[in-house]
Amino acid sequence: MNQSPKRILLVEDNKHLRELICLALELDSYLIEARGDGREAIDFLKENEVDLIILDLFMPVLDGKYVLHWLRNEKKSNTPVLVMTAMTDAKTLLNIMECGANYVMNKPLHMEQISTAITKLLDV
Amino acid sequence: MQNYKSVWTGLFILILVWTGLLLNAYRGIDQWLYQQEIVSTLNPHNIPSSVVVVEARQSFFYASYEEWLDVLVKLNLLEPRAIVMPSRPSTWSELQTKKLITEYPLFLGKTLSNTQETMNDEYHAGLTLLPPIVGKTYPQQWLTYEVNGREYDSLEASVAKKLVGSQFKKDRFFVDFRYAKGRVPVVEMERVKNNEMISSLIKNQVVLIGFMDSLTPELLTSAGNLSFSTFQAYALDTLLNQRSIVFITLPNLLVLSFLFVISLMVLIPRIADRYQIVTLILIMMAITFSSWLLLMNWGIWISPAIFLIAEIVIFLTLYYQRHNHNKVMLREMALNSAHSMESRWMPQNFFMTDEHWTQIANMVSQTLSLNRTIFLEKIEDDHRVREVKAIDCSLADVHEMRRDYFRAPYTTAMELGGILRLQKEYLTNASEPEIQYLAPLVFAGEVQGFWAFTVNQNNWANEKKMLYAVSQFMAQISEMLFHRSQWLNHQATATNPITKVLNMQFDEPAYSAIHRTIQFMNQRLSVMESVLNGMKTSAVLYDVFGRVVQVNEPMVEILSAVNIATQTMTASELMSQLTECSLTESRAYINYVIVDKGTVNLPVNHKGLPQGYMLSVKGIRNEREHGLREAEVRPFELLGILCEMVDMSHIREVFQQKEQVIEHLNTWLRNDLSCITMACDLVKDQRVKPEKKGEMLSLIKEKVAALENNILKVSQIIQTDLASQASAKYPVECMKYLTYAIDRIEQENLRSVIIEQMTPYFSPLVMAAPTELQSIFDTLMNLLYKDTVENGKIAIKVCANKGKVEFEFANEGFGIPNEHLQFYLNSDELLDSDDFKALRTIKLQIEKWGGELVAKSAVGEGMIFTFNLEAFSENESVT
Repeated sequence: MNQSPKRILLVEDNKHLRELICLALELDSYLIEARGDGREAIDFLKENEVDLIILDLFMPVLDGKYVLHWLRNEKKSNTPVLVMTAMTDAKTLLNIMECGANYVMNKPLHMEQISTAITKLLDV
Repeated sequence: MQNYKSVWTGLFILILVWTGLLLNAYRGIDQWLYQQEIVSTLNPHNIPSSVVVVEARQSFFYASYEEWLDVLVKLNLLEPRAIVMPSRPSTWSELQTKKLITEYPLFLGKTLSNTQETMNDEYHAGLTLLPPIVGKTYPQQWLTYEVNGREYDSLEASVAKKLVGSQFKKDRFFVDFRYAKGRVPVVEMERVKNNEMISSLIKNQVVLIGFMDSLTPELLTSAGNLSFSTFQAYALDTLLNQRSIVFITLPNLLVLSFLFVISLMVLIPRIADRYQIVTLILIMMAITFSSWLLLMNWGIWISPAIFLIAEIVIFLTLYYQRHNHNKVMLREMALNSAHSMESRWMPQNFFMTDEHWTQIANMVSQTLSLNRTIFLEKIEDDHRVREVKAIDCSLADVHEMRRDYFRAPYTTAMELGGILRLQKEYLTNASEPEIQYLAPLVFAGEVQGFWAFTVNQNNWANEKKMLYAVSQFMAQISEMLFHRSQWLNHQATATNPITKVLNMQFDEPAYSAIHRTIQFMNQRLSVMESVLNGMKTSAVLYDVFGRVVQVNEPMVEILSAVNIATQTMTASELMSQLTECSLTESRAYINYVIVDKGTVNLPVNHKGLPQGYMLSVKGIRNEREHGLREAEVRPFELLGILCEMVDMSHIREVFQQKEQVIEHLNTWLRNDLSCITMACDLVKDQRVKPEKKGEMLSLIKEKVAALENNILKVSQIIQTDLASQASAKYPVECMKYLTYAIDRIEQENLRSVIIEQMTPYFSPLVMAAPTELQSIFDTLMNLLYKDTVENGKIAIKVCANKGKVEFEFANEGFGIPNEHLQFYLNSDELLDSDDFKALRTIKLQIEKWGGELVAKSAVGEGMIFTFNLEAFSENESVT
């Protein structure tokens, strides 16, 4: 049975990384929507639904934590969220999980790592 | 001469006491002492006498020859050695007298009724003479007496010569009155007449017949009042037993007194001051006792008065010398220390050269942007002024030629009591349009001089501000002028002998020097205390015994918060209280500080005290004088123990800043590495088109270069000495300081002001200095909090974007007219409000860092402040 491709929202302020992730996910046949900061992401999510959100934590204007908070508390959405962060300290990671992240992935990223995580989250 | 001072003193004392001796000045003292010493022996004493006094009534002198014969026969039967009668009874004929003298051992004396009478008969043995009076007493008796050019023996001498064969060379002798009371027995004639005499009383004794109610008054002697016959009996007894009191001869007395003076001159200076009085009394007692001993045992009278006087003179002289020496030394010390303190307080060359005043004039002129300036001082005892120092002008440029400060414009300036803007020209030869001022320089309520200056109106648009700045310098310059005039006066007096004589200022009194020294020391101590209190480091100074010498205010403030009273504890106890070490350990540390000259640094660990303090304990030693006093015994080289609570939070802050930079670097590296790893993965992927792979490779190269650049940038920051560049720009985690400012407001938030924050989760690094950045946040938060209405809101937004971090602080408050806020922010006018003064300061600070502060306000709405600061890296917003 042919399944329709999953829609993923990628929110990442780093232009190069955003493009690279987009390319990698497109190769895996996902439909990608990319945004550069938290404000743009919220604006998009107010009108659209996606199957998965890949969210960078630190971004200008509104950061990932704010977006996550909005998603869970204001939009009341259960969309799985994969958070990417360069922070490695346990306190930050725990805090993100408490805010409603489904998966936290430490940078630097690898294609395989992202694919596995997405597969896992979408399966759930 | 100075070396032989004691010799000269000794000679002076000898000459003094010898002169007194030769002038008989001590006779009174000697007589009194002699009297007292003899009197002290008057208790009955078992010394046998050779003479017995038989006293008859005066009427018996006129008794008939037969009655006298009867008495003589009865006496003779008792076998006396001799019978002595002071004079021949008038009832005896010459023949009868001769017969009695032949048949009985009878010695008759002769009383001379006038000076023409001579003793030219055969039956008189000697002259009956009243003894010579010395002072008020009769200590002596005659041996011989000259009558009409011929010497005759006294009755006592004559009897003694005949009975014991004594030979006498002098004309008088001292009667021995020692143990005088009852020594010579006195019996009444009636007992002889009645044959009641005991044979043993008379046998082999010399019987002296006297008369109890004679016209001769009683004689005052050392033994008390004696009748003349009893006195004669003592005199005769003295001669018969050869017990005459011997007086020391003058040469002997001179030699003895010489030796005595020399001995004391050697001895007394070696006796400690506190024992001197006791020594004086002991020596006086020894002299008196020796004289008593010699008199009693050997009948030698040494005239102790000269020794006593000599001793007192020596003591007084040496005391005076020592006192005088101490006074001179004290005075020298006082003058030296006064001089030393003065030179430490105000270096003398400050007044001696023109250089310092040139520096002052230049500094003032440059700081205040003055065109021309001239300092004038009052001439002492005159009404004119003279130039101290001038910049770009001179006294010759002063248009007013009298230089009389009792006239305008000086009097006008004095009446004004401040800076006078001159309407008429005061300084001539102006090169450009300028305003002229004259300021009186007043110190301690007295005008010391004047300060004339000119300014270019273009340099000081705000005259009020300029005058305020000038007035700040006036007080300081006035004081310096006062010290200068004091010094000039002192110099004039000290160097001009005529002035010294006229002022009768031959020498500065010691008390004046000491007073001045104490004043200087007080002043210096006050300054040192102020310095100690003004130190940021909390410090307490203990002496070597662990007692507190000085505690500065920061230390009192810190420790009183945790109820630690430094005054009641020793250095080791304080160390033990503040750190984790036990009292035994802290004592060991103190021992290390004292004995091994070490310094101990321990982290302060006390529940009530903030973290980040270090307790530093070190010994304060007088190292500078060590070399000079090497030969001296220095039991306490250590002057004290200094305990300092050093606030290490700044250093911790510096390390934290570096940690933050490294943390940010880590984030950037991971981001850049993400690009590289993702690009590598895609290059390896077969599904990616070749042209895309080329782009990936270019990206990888670009990111590697960016990585290198970031690492280099951070390395430079890490190597920067932040402690010495506290006010320079440095990557600072701004959110930390913003949080502190918010916390402070929230702690004292009595008006329930709500603080809303829209801030990034990951604090961006801004290029700033921590202290100043904190001050910026505090100032803005204070200002907004004061302006915010009750239950109002303060909204804070922080956003990093395009290499800048933007801050916005807004409130719902009363607000002020916007033009007022802009005036406060941009004008140079003096402000009364500390908040707006601070606002102007932070604006300048933000601009210094390359940012910009914009403020808006509206009445009834509140205020809004926005500013931006340079972000450490573009990466701050790209994570």
